[in-house]
Amino acid sequence: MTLDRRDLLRYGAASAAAAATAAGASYVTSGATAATPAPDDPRDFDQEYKGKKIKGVHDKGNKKHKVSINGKKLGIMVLQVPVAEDSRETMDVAISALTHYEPFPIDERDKKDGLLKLAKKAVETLGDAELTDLAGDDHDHR
Amino acid sequence: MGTRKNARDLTATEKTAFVAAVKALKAQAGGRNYDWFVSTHMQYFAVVNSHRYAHQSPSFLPWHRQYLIEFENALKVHNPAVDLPYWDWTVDRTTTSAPWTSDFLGGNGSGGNGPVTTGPFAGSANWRINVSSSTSTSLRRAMGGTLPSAANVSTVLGVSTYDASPWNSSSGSGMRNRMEGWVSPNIHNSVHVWVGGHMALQDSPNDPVFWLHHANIDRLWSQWQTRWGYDSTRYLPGSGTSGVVDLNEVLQPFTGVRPADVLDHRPRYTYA
Ligand SMILES: [Cu+2]
Repeated sequence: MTLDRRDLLRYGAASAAAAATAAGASYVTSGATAATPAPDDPRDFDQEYKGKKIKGVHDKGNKKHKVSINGKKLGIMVLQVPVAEDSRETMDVAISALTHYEPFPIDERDKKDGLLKLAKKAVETLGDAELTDLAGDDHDHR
Repeated sequence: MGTRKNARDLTATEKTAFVAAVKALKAQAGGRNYDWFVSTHMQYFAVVNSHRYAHQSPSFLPWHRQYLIEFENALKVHNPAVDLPYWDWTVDRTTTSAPWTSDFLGGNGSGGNGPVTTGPFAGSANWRINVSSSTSTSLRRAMGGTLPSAANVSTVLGVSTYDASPWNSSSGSGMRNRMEGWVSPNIHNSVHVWVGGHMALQDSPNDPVFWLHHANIDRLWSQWQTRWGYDSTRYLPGSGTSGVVDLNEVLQPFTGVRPADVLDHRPRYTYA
């Protein structure tokens, strides 16, 4: 088994979480799943769009997908919305610091390109500007 | 008591006074200045203290009502005669109609998604963006797409139940999620997307039209209340819902202010 940088970061985060738990922090970690690196998601992308480098890494288990534009992090938030009015059935959608009011449906089937569509819209919104550090906020911090 | 007017009905003097007060608040050193309002909106889009205060929750409407009151009061420090105007996008639906005139908020971004080039907020020397997810220091707009129609609004105002479990973006029934826009016919969200540029970002209050859009959303809630009742039993949930702002929980960061305190806005302001 070879470890790439992402795996190392993941192991690093897992051991930091374990240390925090040992120190008395009260949140639950899933150390067992972190020990098995997930294979690359076929939905991941790393390409150029309108002169900007967009990179997307999907997180199937925790839905903590990651997007960067020209190497700067774009904070992503996954929400559940109704599939239709008065429906209790929901679907996953992704919004971001730049596409804040425009949900992109995302799944592993016919909406599997949701994160890529979001990243492209974010590039169009940026135009000739770039992301700032504030764009990297995750929105789900407590 | 203040009267919030339709932006298309403002006199030249009223437009000038509003723009001047907004710019004075922007220039204010420290305190709750314009950029404090931008930062607060960004912070409260997230979950804070395990609560969704500002978005994707029943408190979307009362939180923004109080946010607008605080902003209006901050403008009144600079000019007590100023009231927030509203933009009725069911009537003014083009890139050149009110409020996009050069004597008020200025027009579309250059080339469709670039910096605004007309009016008092064009260019970073006139209106500098300091707190944003984008490095652009001048205000941008990218108008286009579809605005909600009068028929869409009327459908939403006809929904008599304020909100429904699970009290977030996945609520399929109730008025609030339709008004906020995570379910069809999507009123509030679609207007942010239509204006585009900074209005599409988490730091959307950087565009002064934010206040006119939200004043209109607040006006529509007021119309819903006129139809279905201003009393506290109309707000849901009443109590005991964890992670959700119940009727008598504080709308952080507005110390001491609960949804129950803002339901009846009529002693403070009305809409013309
Ligand atoms: Cu809004």
